[in-house]
Amino acid sequence: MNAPRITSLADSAEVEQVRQQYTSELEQLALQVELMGVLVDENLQRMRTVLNAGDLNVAEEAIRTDDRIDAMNVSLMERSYELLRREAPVASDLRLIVSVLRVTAELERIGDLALRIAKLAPEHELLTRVPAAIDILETLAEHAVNQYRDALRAWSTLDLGLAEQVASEPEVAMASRHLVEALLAYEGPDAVVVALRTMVAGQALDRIADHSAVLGARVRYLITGDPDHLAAEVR
Amino acid sequence: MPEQRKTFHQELDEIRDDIVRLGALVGEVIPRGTEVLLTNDMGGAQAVIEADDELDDLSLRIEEHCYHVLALQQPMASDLRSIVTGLWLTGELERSGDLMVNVAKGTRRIYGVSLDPKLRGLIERMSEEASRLMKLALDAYAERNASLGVAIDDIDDTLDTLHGDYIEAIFESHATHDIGLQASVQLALIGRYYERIGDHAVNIGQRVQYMVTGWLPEQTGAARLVARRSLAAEIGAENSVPEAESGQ
Repeated sequence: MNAPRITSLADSAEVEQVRQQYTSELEQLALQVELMGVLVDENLQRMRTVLNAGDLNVAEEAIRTDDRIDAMNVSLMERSYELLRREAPVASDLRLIVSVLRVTAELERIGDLALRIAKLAPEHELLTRVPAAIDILETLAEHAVNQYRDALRAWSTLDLGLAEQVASEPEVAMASRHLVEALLAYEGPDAVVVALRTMVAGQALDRIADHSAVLGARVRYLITGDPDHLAAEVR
Repeated sequence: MPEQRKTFHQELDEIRDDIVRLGALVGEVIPRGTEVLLTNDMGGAQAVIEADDELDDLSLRIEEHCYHVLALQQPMASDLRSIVTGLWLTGELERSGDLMVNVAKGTRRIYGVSLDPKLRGLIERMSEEASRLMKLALDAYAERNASLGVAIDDIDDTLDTLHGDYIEAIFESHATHDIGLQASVQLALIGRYYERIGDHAVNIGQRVQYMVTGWLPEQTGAARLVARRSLAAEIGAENSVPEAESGQ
């Protein structure tokens, strides 16, 4: 579909109005992503509360909030498609809309991982069996949440420096190694089940940090439009 | 009209073929990385790490192609879904390749450690299972087979069970001092990489379902939210409680 041909001043004003509406729709879209990000952040908080205290009510709240996150994901996707179809965007507008599709997928995954940990609430006692392990989990959680917040802040403020910093954050393999070490040192009869549950949590936390780094890389590409930055997602 | 520029559907077919090719590269690197691990092959480990560049390049090219098609054409809903699915799949596949790079790096760290037959057997089976899941996911994509796509989640349970047995075997070997602490740690981390490849295959399956049917797993959650809200609205009409999630 070609842009409408302008044949009079009145038409030109109309075109301008349509254009403004489109711009505000794009702004709204970016803002909605941020709101979705805030919901995910709330669930990351709940995840930390569960790690700390195994609170079952908080886990329930996390499950309900995850439904809201899913609903936002679906609606953002529909709006992005609508814009792609109707406006045939190019250049930075196209980049924004595709970024929304990529970023919401990452946010949704981060939300799922937070939920995976929150759902360990009934087995919280197992997680605390090895004191050194739960300490490491809490450290990993703090790191992951900080990474996530930086990534979300980079999205809201389009801060290139911050986006680059989050994108290039090294993996926290060291902490994971210590976690396994602590688990292997434990010799109780339930050692294997303790290790498996704890590793589920540890792996989910690693992956939250990992997805946050991808978010940072996506924001960087959104800002620069440099095809080389597409590859930045790679490790 | 041979001189005409590529049609939209040719472009879509090319994207699909490239993704299948990317999937084939991932499918090759899984058994190769496992072989390297089981034979302590340091040169092979290096080759796996270097081969990942090809995978990264291809996934980048696919992504750019997707952008190009989106910019030049005005796709219909189902075609849009195919392109967006393509973008997602490159991410899943590219990261699966990275996980085998991690296995190769882990191989270097446990150089010289001999693994007992039970551990070796479990590593082989985890690798086979991860390959199988990836292959099924790619088949589902190439054939646009939504029901196969969804089924991968259930099939993945086998890999999860194997992973549990594997961790148990590491504990046993460690307890009997057959393998030291550092090797145990590395092996435990390596097991997680296979498990994660399985997760990526499950994600691919769900994306395929979406591509074919337009249905997203998240829609279940979204539907629950709507159901809760309308229930709350009914109760609200009787008891005048304003919000679905008030009082949490």
